Amino acid sequence: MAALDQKSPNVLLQSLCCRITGKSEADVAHQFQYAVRVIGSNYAPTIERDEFLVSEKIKKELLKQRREADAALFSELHRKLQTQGVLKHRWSILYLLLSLCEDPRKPSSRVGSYGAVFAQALPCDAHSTPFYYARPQSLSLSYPERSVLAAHNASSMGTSGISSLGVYPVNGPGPSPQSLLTGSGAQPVTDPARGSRLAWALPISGSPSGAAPPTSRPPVGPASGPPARPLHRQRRDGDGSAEISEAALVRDILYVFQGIDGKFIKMCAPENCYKIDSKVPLCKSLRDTSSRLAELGWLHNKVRKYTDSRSLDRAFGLVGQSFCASLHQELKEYYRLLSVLHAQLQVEDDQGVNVGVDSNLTLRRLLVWTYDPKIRLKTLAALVDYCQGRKGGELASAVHAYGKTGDPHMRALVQHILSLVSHPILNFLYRWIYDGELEDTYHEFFVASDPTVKTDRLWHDKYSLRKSMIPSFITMDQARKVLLIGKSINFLHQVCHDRTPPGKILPASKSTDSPKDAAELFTDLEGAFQSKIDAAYFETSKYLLDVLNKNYQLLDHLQAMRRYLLLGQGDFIRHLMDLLKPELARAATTLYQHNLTGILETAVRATNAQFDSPEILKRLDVRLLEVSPGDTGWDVFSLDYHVDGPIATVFTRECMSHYLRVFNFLWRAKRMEYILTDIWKSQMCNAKLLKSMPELSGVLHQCHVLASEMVHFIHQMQYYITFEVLECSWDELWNKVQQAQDLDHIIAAHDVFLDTIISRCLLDSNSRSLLNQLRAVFDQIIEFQNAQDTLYRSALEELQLRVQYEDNKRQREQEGEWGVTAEQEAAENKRVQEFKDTIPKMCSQLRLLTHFYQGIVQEFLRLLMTSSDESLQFLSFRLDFNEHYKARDPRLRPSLGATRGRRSSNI
Amino acid sequence: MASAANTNMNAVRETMDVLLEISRLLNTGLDMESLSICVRLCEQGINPEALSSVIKELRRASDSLKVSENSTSQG
Repeated sequence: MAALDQKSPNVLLQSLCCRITGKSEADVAHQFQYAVRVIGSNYAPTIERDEFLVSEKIKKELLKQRREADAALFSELHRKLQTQGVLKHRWSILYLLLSLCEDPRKPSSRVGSYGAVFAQALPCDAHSTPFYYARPQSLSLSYPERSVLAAHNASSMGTSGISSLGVYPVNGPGPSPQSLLTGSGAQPVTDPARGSRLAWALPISGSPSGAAPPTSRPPVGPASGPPARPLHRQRRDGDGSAEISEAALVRDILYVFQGIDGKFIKMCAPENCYKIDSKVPLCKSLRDTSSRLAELGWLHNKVRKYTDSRSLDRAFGLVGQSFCASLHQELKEYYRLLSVLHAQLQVEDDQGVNVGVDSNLTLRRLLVWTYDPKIRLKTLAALVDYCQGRKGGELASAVHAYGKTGDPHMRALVQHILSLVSHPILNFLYRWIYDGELEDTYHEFFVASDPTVKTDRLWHDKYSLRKSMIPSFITMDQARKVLLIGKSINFLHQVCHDRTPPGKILPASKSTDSPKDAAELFTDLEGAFQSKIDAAYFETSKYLLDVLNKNYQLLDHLQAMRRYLLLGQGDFIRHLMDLLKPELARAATTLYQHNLTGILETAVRATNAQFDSPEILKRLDVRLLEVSPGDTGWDVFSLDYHVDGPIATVFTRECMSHYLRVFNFLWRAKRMEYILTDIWKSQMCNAKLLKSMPELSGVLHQCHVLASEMVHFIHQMQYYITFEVLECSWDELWNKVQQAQDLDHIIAAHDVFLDTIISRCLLDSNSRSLLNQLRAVFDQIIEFQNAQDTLYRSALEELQLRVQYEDNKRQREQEGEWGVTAEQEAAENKRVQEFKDTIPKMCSQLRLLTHFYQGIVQEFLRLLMTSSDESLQFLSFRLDFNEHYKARDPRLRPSLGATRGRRSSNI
Repeated sequence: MASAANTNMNAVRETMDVLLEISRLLNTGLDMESLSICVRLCEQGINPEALSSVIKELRRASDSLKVSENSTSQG
């Protein structure tokens, strides 16, 4: 025995299986597996390990069977067993024998206890603990047909008095190949009532094949069966023979639970509910109860229909599939419960229900047992209703919305479904943020990609958020970050041609955890999901910015824009203007780009611009705008900066056109400054020369006054543009770019910068009138330059003639002749007089110019004051610092007061 | 040594006899070999409850098999 003890339980079990079924090892594999499972799952016994108790029970059992002599014999044997002390687990083997005990006369005593155990176990089985279902009492090995089972049970009970009653004469008695009841002695059939009960019970199970023969073991039916079984049944079933029995209803209900029409309870299509045929006589309470139970069937049908219709629909997508799978899982557990109920019903049918009303399936009992499953099904049905027509992230949102309930069971259920449903979404997400790949055949993920977009617009247009597909447990902020991460990776690959494997970008965060674990991340409180996304976001963005700065010199280009297109490089611009001046003064149609490009290169080489990197300088170019008739070179000249590749993502086409507009404006303002410098230069040069012509002093004074007025205006304008517009915005931009965490920040900052410059330089649509005035001022300046030029030209001509005249006079006097003849003097006087006559004309022309100019400036000032931009108001104060214009124009006064009043009221 | 083993064997045999008798009293339907297997399993600490249920199911299964065989052979 000691040697045998070393055999493992499995080997023993297998030989046991072979022994009992009488078959070879290969044939019993199925049963063996079952046995191992049952033994394994019920390892700990539920009874107390007390030998004494067990032996007392055995004695009681024997006494119950009226076998006092046997009881005494057992006591004797038990004592012997105790004295031998070979066994360690005496109670165990005794218990085993007891539970295998077959009382030939009272076969169903055991069944009663099964029923009780079953009834205890069921309420907790109703939750989803599959192992409980494996409770051996209620499972048959292979779910044989009901009839077969019934027949065999009848035989195994050893109550085969049936044949003697002649109910199934067909098969007749034959020798049983199996000797189950080895110990049972021959006992006479003394229980006709039992036979009749079985005869009654079998046809009800609706199985003609129930004609399978009861084996012809010697009839062992004990004398005292339950009396008058059919009577008992009838009493329990209720009142009046015409009504359906409750048992039949229970059977019906069990079918209805699976969505199959029963005998009495049928699907009523127009009302969409299960109804008992109204003609069937039935008392009201039973009718009500069964209607309530039938709801379960209806709910089941609803869920079932949804999963059936969806599981074939491939376009429903992965999220939908996993939703269906989770529903299936729930349904499977529900079916498990149903199978347990069915098994119970069979046990009842087979054993008879003589154990008493306590342990039978009744409608009320069903009502209690199916309470929890019903709530679950209800939740599922509601979920199915709510999720109708949704897919992908939307579906996950819908499920998530149902998880916000106070009921912990429901919450757990929904949470479970949610974890399954969100699994594919999480898979998408990880593929996207770690590899930048979008494998979303059914458009379920919340990042959408537009395949028609070319790589140059990849950053701006290719990827977008599908708002409806963002699951509600992912915030908008997270979704945006997720979008940005994947976009950055794709940008690196496709635009920057950066072939760094994603693993290197994210050294640490490419974590090992499976999506299964991560499914919990969505709902956790610690924000592990958030931190995961954040980490990926920081790493990826940082890497992208590094690549852009190092390999593509993004910041250098930004500075180049500032220096060249926004005229930051003063010496270069000035020199360029000097060189270009003769070219640009010509008509626009006579300009050639290659000439200008040559001049540009000369200017670069002569100034500090030459120290810039060639990478930047080679992008610098000249561009001629569209020529309209009458334009001079000044109107069409423009600098250009070529951008391509990744840089073009920041400096987009719109950005560049903005830059061009700003450049044109600045170029024009710069030219005004340049013109005024010229005007001042000529004034200084000519002032001394023309001192000899006192008649001109008035005109010249007028010129000086107007010029200084203009110089003041342009200086203030330049100050405003340079310091208040460009430098301030640039500083802001530079700070933002330095602190930027991702490319979007840089792009946004850059856009803000451009917008600010455009609006402050009066280039936006709001300040069109201001810009018009300013243009008019510029035009006046040019006109003034022309007027002054003609003035100086004629004055200098006159001066030269006079000097010549004097020289001639002096020369002749030296030659000893008369200095002048009368005609000569007359001609001279006449010419001088003519010249003097032109002076008032010049005067009036200048006055007119001044008048226009001042009118325009006053209008400009008025517009400045009424503008809402504070820096523009300050500009107006500076332009009119001594209230010169205010004194002249009464309109400036009230408007100033009005703005003040408005501003104070705003405060 | 041999005698000790012998007495031990005797004791075991006696025990088995007693158990077989009890089994017969209780009408369990176990023959000697099945019983000895059961005893060994119990001695290894297997839950008797589960074991008994397994045995019942095995019987049920084999019965049903036989019944179906019978019916097919007759049909």
